[in-house]
Amino acid sequence: MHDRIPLMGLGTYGRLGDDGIAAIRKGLEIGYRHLDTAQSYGTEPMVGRALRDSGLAREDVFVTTKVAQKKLAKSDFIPSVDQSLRDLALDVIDLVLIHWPSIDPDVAFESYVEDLGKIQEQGKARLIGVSNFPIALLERATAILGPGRLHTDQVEIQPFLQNRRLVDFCRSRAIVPTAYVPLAKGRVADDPVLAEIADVHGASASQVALAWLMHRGVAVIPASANEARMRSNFEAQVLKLSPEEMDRIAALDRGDRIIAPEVGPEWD
Amino acid sequence: MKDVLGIGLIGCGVISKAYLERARTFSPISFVAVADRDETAARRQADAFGVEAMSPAALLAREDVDIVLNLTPPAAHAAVSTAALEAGKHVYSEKPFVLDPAAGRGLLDLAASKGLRLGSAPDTFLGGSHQLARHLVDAGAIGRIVSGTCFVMNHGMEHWHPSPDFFYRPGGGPLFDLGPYYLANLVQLLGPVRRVSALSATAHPTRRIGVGPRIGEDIPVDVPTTVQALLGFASGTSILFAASWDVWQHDLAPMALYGETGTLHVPDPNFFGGTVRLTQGSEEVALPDWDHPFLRNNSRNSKGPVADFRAAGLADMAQAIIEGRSHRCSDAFALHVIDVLCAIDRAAREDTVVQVASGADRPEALDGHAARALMV
Repeated sequence: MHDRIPLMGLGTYGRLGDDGIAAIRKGLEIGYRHLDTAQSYGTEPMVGRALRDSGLAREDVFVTTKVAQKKLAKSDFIPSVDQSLRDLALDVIDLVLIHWPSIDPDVAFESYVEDLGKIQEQGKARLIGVSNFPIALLERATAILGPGRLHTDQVEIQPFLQNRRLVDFCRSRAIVPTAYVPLAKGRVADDPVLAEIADVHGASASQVALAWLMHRGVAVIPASANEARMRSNFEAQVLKLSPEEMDRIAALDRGDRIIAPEVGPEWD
Repeated sequence: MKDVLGIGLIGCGVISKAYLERARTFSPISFVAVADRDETAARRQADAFGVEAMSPAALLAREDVDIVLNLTPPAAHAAVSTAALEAGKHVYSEKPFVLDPAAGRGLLDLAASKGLRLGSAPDTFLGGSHQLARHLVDAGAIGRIVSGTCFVMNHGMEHWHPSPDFFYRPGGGPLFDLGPYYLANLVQLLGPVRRVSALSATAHPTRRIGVGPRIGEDIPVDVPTTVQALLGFASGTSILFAASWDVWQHDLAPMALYGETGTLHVPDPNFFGGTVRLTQGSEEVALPDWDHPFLRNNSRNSKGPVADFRAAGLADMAQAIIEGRSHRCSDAFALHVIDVLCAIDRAAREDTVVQVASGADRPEALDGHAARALMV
């Protein structure tokens, strides 16, 4: 049983149908023990199926899902988590997140944050967290739930958008940051500094970016349908970067956001 | 019953990035595969966005592809869409989805015979600003609309696009490339067009590429680059419409509708957002509260921040398939827009008034609540 989110996870966006199940199973064969899905990805059934077919013990694999922005209303939140449990064919989900803060003026923040707390109290989620929450909303959520309840904040973090204020804030509250688009949609592969560090280690620039995040205590969930890419991302865990290399990567930050905040809040 | 449909994208050119970047915006769609005749282009987008690259034929054979997103060049649209429909896939195409109405009717018939959906860009008329304009028109804010103006004029595409050839070939030109955004918005606001007259011109026989590996190369211009038209709508409204790539500078607003009791100032239908203004008599009138997600500036262009919700029409089509309702960027609507564009082209070439054979229902309005239901 994982009592914390494993730092290496497999993103499952786009892994639909039988091909999707096969790709997720391949991920589990490679060694991934943390699968990241969401109600809005449509991949909860594929994650559940791949997990059952893998023969792995339930407690060995950490499953994260996210409640869709349009399911945050009082009448929808808990039924949507019940549906996730059915789609995943699980008795309990390891980690349930609010995917985005609501953009519906009729859906109160307090309502869905309270519902997030309830699903943990009801035993439907072992751990709870949020996604795309800036510091101000993390503080508001903590005021409602009490300290120590939020386990993660899943946000965009990559070498060109290091989100340091948010990462530092999370650390100060024992919240594990989780990075989506950790490879900046392929842009890390073109960066000369990452390439140079990668050469020293006989690794790829993508592996260096993932290792840098994990060294900072940030969980990563790279998504790929390609076996070689999945394997290479997974192997980033063995890479050890020096303090000097960490400093060089820290200097790459330029506030370059990939996922635009179309349903998002005002970012830090 | 699925609540997310798999998207297979064919055509990994410039515009594919704009679609793939919106992948996490909309809940009923998920990109699963990309294909291109050029394998390198497909591989690049696949690696960047965590999807699989494959040949177009392999993509059409995938069981997890429900909808084929056709982003090939205009001249290839019909053939690629036909192949996708034949393979049993729903199709959403970049505009124009066909180059002539006869081909369009053939595709509509094929889709209908197979029980599949066919949809087409543009979807900017679903933007928060244009839906506010729609709300105001429907609420009678300016009374019966008597006339209006619509202008899209600049100096062309070769200064920013590295391979601008297709812009200056049949299926391109300002009429067919930009016209769909403006006509689609006019038709969603005013209903179908019944007849058109027009004049056209071509200022330069060649254009010089201004960026990329072919910089300095001259390319031929095979289409009119200035078109001025008068559109007669079935509602009785007449609209003066000009589309040109021969204009360096002008001070004309993109769209204005003149009603019996006031004027509605509509922002550029090339974008989802922008400022709507309403005047009644000669007074500026306060707009109603309008909370719409497709208003938010989430992207930048050369002029600054813009709202870009490209793929909203695709997401709406996916949701419509899931819910068993009609989709807003429908084939019949797109066909009418192309019919009007072709009528304008013909009116200019033959120096005559052309009757538009097709009609189209206005797509359902998309208010803030309906738009939020499409988002993650």
